Amino acid sequence: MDRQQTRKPAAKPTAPVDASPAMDSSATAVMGEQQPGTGAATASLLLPERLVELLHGGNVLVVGTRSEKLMAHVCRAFGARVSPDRRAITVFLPKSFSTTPMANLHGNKQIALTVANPADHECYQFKGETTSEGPVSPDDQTVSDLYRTKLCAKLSRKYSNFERFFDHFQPGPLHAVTFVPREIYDQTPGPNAGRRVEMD
Amino acid sequence: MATARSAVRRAAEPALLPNEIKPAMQGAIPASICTCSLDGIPNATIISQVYYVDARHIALSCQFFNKTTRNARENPFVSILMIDLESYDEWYLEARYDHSETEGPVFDNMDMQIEAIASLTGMSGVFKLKSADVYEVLAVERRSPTTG
Repeated sequence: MDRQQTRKPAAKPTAPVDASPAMDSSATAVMGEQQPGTGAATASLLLPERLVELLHGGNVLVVGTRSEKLMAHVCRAFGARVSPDRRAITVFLPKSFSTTPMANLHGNKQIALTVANPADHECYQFKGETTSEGPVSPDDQTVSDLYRTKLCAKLSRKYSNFERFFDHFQPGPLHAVTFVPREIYDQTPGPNAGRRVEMD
Repeated sequence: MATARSAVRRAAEPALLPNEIKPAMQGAIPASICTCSLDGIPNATIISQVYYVDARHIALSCQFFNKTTRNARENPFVSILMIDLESYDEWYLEARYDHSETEGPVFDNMDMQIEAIASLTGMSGVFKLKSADVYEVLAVERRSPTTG
């Protein structure tokens, strides 16, 4: 992914995108101040429909953050919602396990989000800076509930007893974290893994 | 998940991996890892295998994830998340990159497991183990509603 080559997302047929409620107006102010060395803001990207479909499609969502001392932290997100203008992504983090990532984001705003389809291993990573965080709205909660149902259905086709996992492992209360992607990388296993996705 | 969590065990000494973590390392469900570059950019990705070396060390397969590999070499502290498909518990690890092996029993065993995982996931011929990257475990957390 540090290579210079770029490519566009695979030209798959564009399926109807799931309902995407308007951005939560309850989101709070910008998190922290721009820190030296954290990268200047760049023009926001227009996310391709294919990637919006993946983000809304009940796929595995992994969030990476880092502390001021550059200690990495990984956690799961329970749902994602792309803004209507396709330039921002909101992810939902379980409050019970987000003390560290939220502290990291307040400190430096740097976030990485990976979406992976467990069925075919298609995988992309979005890197950017957070712009807001706050409580989830009823629409957010609906998106997260729908996400969990979709993911459970998808994984159940691959792994047995996954419904039991989701009964057992509920996310509970959520934070909504919004960020603006500035770079996207293809992480699908194979020769294109790590290549930066070329944007229109 | 929302009801309880165990404390992350951190100590001056490396953490010990409990035996109960081993089912989560069988590769049934891919794990996740986050690294961070020296210029402060986190990198999150999926990894197909976390290999139990001994009670203080794990090994990760180095195949495609060049950015993860490069980050770990310049900033060795990584964060890993695994799921145990038997108990449905989630395991969170913090670890520090130690060294890479391109031959020997750890590499050979990982190479065999990678091929098995590739076969199971319909990706035979795509996975190619370049090295077994060995990490010292610094912290272990089991995430389950039953662990208090």
